[in-house]
Amino acid sequence: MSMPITDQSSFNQFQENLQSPPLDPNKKPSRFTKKHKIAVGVGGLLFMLLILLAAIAPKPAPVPEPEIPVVVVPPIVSTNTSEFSKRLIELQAQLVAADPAEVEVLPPPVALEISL
Amino acid sequence: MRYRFYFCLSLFLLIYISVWPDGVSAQISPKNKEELISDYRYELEQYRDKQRVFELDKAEYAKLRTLVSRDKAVFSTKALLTARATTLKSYVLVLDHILNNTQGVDTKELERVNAFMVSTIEILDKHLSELEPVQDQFVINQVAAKFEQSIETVLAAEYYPLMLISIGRIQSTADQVYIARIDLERNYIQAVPDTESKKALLLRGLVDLDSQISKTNEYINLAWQQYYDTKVKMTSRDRYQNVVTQLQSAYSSISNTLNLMSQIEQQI
Repeated sequence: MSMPITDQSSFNQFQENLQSPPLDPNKKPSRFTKKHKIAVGVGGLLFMLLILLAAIAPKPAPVPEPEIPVVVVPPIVSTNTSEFSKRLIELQAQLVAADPAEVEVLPPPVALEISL
Repeated sequence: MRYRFYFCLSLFLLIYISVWPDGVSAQISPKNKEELISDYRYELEQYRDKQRVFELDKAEYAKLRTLVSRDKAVFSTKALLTARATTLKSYVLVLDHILNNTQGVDTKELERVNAFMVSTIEILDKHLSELEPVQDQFVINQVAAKFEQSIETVLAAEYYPLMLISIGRIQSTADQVYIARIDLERNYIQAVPDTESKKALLLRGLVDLDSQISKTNEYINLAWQQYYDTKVKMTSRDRYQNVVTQLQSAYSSISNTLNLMSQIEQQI
């Protein structure tokens, strides 16, 4: 008895069809390939990273102002003391405002014991 | 599914970042000192009105002893207690604002006194919520009596900030007067030639000035001693009076220092 001759390639195709999930005849093939999906995922991650970096990034330091050359002024001598007089007047005003007897608002004169 | 998650997360982060700073700043009291003082004066005026009504209703109930007069008296007692709590609360808010904007206040004490004020606000809020449903004479007297147990805490929240404000202001002025005294010597008196007899006179003036400054510091220290003195048991109000007495002396001493400084400055 001789064995029946079989087509090996059609047999392999048959095996593959058996292993793959059943195909939905109504399903349209997706427009997006795997590469598209990876690109969107990476893009989203980068976007999130950008936002996080923006949130935690230190504020840019203010631009330093050009240095003003220091001019050495000799100490004020003798009669030119008007600035100091002004300062004394300001201190006097500050002292009057600090008068402990003259607080802006004293505690309210409310009865602490009330009953009917 | 995963992309949707990332998108939602990004959106959430964006919204959170843009909203967060406003959320923090919104917690800071939006009212300034004048507005707070004005609120306090309004509440005090309300309290006075309620007190007048309460006195009349209480007298009427004592005289008539009817159910109607009793209900009226309960209602006005409740109104008075509510007005008192609101007035005290608005006063504590004024003090809180002034104290936390006063220079020269001791940081450690500031924390302690802030805690007094916070607990007092809590006591007053609780008292107000307890008053709200009251309709009965017995219950209203009970709620009033319960509040009286916390009077010392309320008084501490009134007088300790006042003490710190007063000491802080005087201390700050004294510090600036001391800096002015150093500048006077360094920039004016030292500039006078040694050969002039005027310089010796000015230096003698500085000795008197230093004596006044030393007195000022002594009085401020005495004020602190009164503030911290726990040996003698006294109310916050009495303690405040003792502190103010010492600060009055410091005030006079600073005033003398400034007058002396002015005289020295005129001689230069």
